[in-house]
Amino acid sequence: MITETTEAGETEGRPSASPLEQFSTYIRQDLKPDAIAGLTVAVMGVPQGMAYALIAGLPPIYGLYTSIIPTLIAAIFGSSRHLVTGPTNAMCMIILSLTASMPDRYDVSLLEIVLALTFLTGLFQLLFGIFKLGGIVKYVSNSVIVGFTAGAGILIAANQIKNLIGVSIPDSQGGHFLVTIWATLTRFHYANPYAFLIGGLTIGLLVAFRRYAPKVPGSLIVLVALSLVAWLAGWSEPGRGDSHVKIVRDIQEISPSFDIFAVPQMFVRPNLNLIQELVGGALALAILGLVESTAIARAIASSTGQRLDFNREFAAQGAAKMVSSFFHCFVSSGSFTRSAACYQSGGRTRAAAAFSALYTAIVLIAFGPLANYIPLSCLAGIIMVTAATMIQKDRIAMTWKSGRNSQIVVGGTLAATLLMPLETAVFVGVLLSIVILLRITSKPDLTQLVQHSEYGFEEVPFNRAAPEPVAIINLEGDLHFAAAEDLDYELLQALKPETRVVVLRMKRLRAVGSSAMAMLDHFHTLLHARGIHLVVCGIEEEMSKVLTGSGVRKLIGEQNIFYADNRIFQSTELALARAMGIVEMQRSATDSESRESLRETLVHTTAADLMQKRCLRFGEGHQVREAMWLVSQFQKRMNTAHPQSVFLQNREGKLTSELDIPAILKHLATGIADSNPTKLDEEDLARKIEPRLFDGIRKIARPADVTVNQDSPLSEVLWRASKNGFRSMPVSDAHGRLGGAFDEIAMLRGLTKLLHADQAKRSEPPAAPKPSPMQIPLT
Amino acid sequence: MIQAEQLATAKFVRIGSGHSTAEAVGIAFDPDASVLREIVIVVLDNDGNFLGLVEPRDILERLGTELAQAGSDSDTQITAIRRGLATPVAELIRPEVPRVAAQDPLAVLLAKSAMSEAAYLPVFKDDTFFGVIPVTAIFDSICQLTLSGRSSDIPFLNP
Repeated sequence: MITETTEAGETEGRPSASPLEQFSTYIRQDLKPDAIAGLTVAVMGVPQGMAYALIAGLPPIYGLYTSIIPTLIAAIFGSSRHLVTGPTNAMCMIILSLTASMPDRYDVSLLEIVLALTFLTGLFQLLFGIFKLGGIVKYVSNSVIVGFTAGAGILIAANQIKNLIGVSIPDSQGGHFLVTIWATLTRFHYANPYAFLIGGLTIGLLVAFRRYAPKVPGSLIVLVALSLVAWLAGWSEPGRGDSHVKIVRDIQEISPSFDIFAVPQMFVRPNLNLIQELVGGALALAILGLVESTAIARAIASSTGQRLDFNREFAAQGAAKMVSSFFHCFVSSGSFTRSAACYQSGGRTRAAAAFSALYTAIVLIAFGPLANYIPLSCLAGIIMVTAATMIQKDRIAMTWKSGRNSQIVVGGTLAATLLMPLETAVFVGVLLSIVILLRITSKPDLTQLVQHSEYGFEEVPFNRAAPEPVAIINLEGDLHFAAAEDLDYELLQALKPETRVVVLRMKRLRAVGSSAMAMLDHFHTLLHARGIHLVVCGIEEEMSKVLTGSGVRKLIGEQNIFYADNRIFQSTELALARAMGIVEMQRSATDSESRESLRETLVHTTAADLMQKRCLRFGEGHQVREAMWLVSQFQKRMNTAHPQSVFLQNREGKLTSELDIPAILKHLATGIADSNPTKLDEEDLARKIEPRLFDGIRKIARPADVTVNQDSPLSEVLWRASKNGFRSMPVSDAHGRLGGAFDEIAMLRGLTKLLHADQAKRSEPPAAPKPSPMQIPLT
Repeated sequence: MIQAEQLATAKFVRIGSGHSTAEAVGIAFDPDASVLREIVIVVLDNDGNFLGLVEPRDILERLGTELAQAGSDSDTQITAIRRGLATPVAELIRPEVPRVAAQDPLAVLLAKSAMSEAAYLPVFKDDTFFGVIPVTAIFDSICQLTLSGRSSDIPFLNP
């Protein structure tokens, strides 16, 4: 019984059901749809299998074997419910490309070479699965697949012209497809009209079936019908000379026997040179096979919602190839057409693919001898029609419209497929993708940030920010060795004569290494020579380690480095504050005007500016519990977590003392002083502190003997606040009554406002622009 | 059962130990700050490890000390304020603030909050800094525990 995994990762049906119950459920629910889907796949797969074997240069019988053994094994061990494994046209084309010239060079039969290739391909895929290297397929982009598939389709079709028109090409003139096409065309006058007729009819009928009756198994009907026509007309009879239509039997006779187990020759008489030559091709086949299978399984899973285990699928694909190499099977892969047929015809589990293998075996045993009469031109017609579908015009158009980089990759891969060995073409495509990726990422994105009073920071194009003493540069993307080159000089372009500090935001930088650090080091030196400070922010953990390891942290100075936090732009705000501080320090050293401005603000900001009349006042005769209730209500209204004070008044309304939350908590804690607090639950805690709730608040309040009046300047306020130790500063009138209060937050906010106002005042442009003391060469 | 972890918050300002008080004030007490944050500064070392907490009170005390030495002359007061604001924030770390563990129950939080005047307690989980607990949160939990259902006999709020 094959169990399936749903999207939620649970076994379908009842997870706790016994194997017998699961089997019983399967028989009841899934057996029939799987059996029907398997039959549909087999009907489609038998002619495809024989035809694809022809692409690989092998007799059609091996296509049937490959439609049985790997299909069965991949179904048992795989992950996808609908992926049908077997012979595919692209893989067969690579097999031909790889192995065509080898039999002569190694004195080993083509079949044995293909079996060795199949085993090695399977071994690579099994290792990918075991070592969870499934991610390798990510490096084969969509553009590579589109270009390669289209190229392979052209090659396959071109390679079958000779079979379609019934022309024999001498082995010496075979090989590259251009040579094969040329040899075919130069022999066109030898074309067999009967073979051409059968081939032409095959193509015409298949196109008609696809257009007008797509659900009918056209390939099988055309194959049977035209084989019958050729047999009845006697075109396939030997002894007809040039008019003899070649049939399957002319290549190798198909017998009903299923005695196909044989240990490949590579294990009996290993030829290391041959194996060595096959390894590169096997790797290409392994990767391409995985890409093909993954794409198909993923496409179907997106409709079914099945969550796939790709590493398991890779291991299953590998095992299928390794085992099938002992059963005269060539390299298989996930077939798109048969997988789609399996899904569309209602297949529910991996048993559907297993059924298709079973039906194919039955066909082989029951009707195998009849397959001997299939004309090769008919199979060639089937191949050419399926090859045409590999040139996916819509996908090519979409990829082509996706931009110049996609065009280069798809065009390059297509050209490589047509002109180079196929296994190399895949790697050429991958290489092109990587080169383009490097080119794209060889330049990090540079923008500038400008602080906006309403919405934080505004991002503007690089070198377009208005001249300010602080230039904030935002660096994003990869900063690998190629990207770091000359970046320091490019960054200098953001400098203006007004620039005093550069803030470099490096939050979204990746691939930071020694080249990036060398760039930063040099940029710091360039700035230093111009008297400009460097502050960096958005530093994440990885970057922090690199800064430390390279010594750049020490060079920049810890006070100029700000670390990324969970709040967006927090480190940039901090860095900007630091930068403004530097600018301020530089200015204050020379600018007496600024000093005057600060003095004015300091003298003219008074307690009245900070005070709030709304504050907590309470009679000093109350109990702690009443003060607690009052404070808790006030805290809620104030919407702050910072503790507020209660000011206690006597009967005349004069301020006498102050009480705050830490003081209340300290008092309550005396209730548990003789207990181990770790052993107290909340009920115990409430019971123990309850007596403290009824104490008078006068007992725990602190005398309010330091106050300010409304006219006290900020400097006095700050000084007195530091003396009295209260969290809120009471402001009393001439009669000693409480007029209001301000807390320490208000004091510091007042101070911040003062500093901001001061900075803003001094940032105003001077009436007459002064000549810049600094000339910055822009590189 | 209420534990420290439930009362802890991560909405506070983190800053490296090398930064000045002015920078810390500029960020923590920015009047234009749109995000409500706890008014406490968490000071970290170069490796991001917790060093201590700085509260507004600590900053005010430093400024007050500087101003006390400055006298009444506004020039020397300005210099004093600038000097106070230039102090590295690490120098203002509040000493001896009790640390609490994420699993500490309310009674432990009460006992530890009574050990200092701090308005915030740092919380650690598996020896790693986890967040801060405002003492107001402890106070609020105790109010709910002890005053729940009894507010009817608590008479008034004097505006």
